[in-house]
Amino acid sequence: MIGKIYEIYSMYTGTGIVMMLFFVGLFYLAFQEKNRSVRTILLYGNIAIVIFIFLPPVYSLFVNYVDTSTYWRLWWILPVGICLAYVGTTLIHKHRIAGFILIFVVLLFGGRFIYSGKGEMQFADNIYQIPGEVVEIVDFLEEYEENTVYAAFPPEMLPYVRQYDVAVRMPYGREMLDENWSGENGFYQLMSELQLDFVNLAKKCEYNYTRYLIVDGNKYYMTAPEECGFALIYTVDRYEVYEYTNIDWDKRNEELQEL
Amino acid sequence: MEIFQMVTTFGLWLLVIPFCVGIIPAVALGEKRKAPSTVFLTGWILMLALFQVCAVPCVLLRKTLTDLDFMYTVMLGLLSMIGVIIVAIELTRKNVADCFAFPNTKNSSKEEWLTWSLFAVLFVFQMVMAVIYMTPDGDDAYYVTHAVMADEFDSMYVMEPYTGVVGVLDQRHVLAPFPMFIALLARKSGLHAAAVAHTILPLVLIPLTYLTFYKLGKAFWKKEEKKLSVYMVLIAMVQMFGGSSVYTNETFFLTRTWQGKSLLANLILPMALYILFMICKKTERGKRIPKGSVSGWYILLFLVNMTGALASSLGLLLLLILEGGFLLLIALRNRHPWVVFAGVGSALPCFLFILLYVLL
Repeated sequence: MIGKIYEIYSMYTGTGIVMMLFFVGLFYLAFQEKNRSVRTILLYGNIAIVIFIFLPPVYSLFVNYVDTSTYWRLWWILPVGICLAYVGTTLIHKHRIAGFILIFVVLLFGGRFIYSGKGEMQFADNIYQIPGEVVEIVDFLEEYEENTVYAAFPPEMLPYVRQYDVAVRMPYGREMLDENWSGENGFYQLMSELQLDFVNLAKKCEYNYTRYLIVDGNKYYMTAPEECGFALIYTVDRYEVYEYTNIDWDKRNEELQEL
Repeated sequence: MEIFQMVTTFGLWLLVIPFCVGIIPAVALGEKRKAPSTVFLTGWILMLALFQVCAVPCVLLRKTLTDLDFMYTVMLGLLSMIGVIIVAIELTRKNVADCFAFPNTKNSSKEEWLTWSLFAVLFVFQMVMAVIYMTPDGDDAYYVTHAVMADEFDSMYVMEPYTGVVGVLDQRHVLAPFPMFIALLARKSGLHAAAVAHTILPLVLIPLTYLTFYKLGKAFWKKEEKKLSVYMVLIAMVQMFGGSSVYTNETFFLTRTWQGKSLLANLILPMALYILFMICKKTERGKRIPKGSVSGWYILLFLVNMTGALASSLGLLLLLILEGGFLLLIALRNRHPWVVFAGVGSALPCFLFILLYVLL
């Protein structure tokens, strides 16, 4: 069980260098700090928390009674940044410029710059901080459709569509991208394939009453969409918006209103 | 007109009201001269704690956002009035300088000014990046969408956010309804809830976090305030280089600032630590404890716990561990067992919401 806790610790700390600095800082406090309250909170308190988190019974209780996947959040209790800044200050306050440069270099190599561009961080397209193509497609659909928009989006757009417009209804949503979600959705599976099978996508649109299909135009189409009842109505960058035309949507909307 | 409405709403709700209501906890802390930073910070804590008190019953009783808005605005308005009246009464007896403790910059050296300037650069950089950069995060599809739905449909947590079908209440999340606070700000300002969450909230939550670090630093170096600027620069650097993994509180702080989890990790937990440090300092062994000098901190801890409940259900457990462990340590080190018993009272929101979580 200790191995599992250590695995979570490693996952949390990444390279582990910042955490190593934190432990070195605790040693420094143990030998140099005279302020009684600082010792109580930053030294003994932190040691107690580290021991607590590494206790197998704590892990076992947490996993069985609280949550199986969020044990790493216990590390949030440790004031790593505060402790590092405190120790750093006591060490460099008399030699500020050299100290800042030294700590900058240590953090540069030991930590990771939040804005380094790794991950999915990017310049915001708009004040909503939602990808511009999603906003453009949804705005178009809202203008094009007189009733509620029923649309299927590609996987990469799922988290954003309803953050921007909650009036859009979808046959599947962001839960498809959640690793903890165990269900299956045939429509989503077809949409996430590298080769798009419009014959089967048409069946899904028919079954789910989904009028609009947004697909990545860079993908390979196994059949021409037009042959399966789809009409291209809009294009944004690499995305194409199709309308499924084999259903009489006016009649369908009347049926919905009767319901 | 729309821009005027937005600016006045945000000015009022994010700056003026916290200052007004913050007078109340600042008085409870028993400081003769109230620091504006304390007033603003504790005002925010009180404001968010009050939101939790209003929001949870409204959500569970399936009330609308309009109902919550009315209830909350009335209560916050009353508290603001009380705050203003307290200040008005104090100002009839004392002058402004005797009521409020403004930072003293007269004795600051050139070196100190330069260090503060460096901190200002790092701080402004982080604020600008929060506005111009976006960090796609799947969890927003849940939290932000709930805020947008509440604002658009005037209902709270009754629809499934991912697809839009009507669903059942998600018990785990309704007890931590921070997205409804976003919805409320969106409703009042007329700005889209996604814009409020992603662009506006970081502009207030990042400064609030740094204010908490500042208060903690001031408490560390009460007699050596020259070190404070160095400490602030270092803590800003640690935040910027703290992205060792996607799980660290620093990553959450600068890339998911608007989420309840980030609020917990970067405002609530450091605030609780600050309060615990103050309790530890005020009850140090051999020191005389002036009557009423500690009770205010326990009241503030109570409010912080209530705000923790608003931010994250799991946060309640983290707060209990932090406070339980540290108060026990303080009691042992300072030989004051009552410190722990008083803490049980402050932790009531944690117990209450954990009980609700189990029962629902």
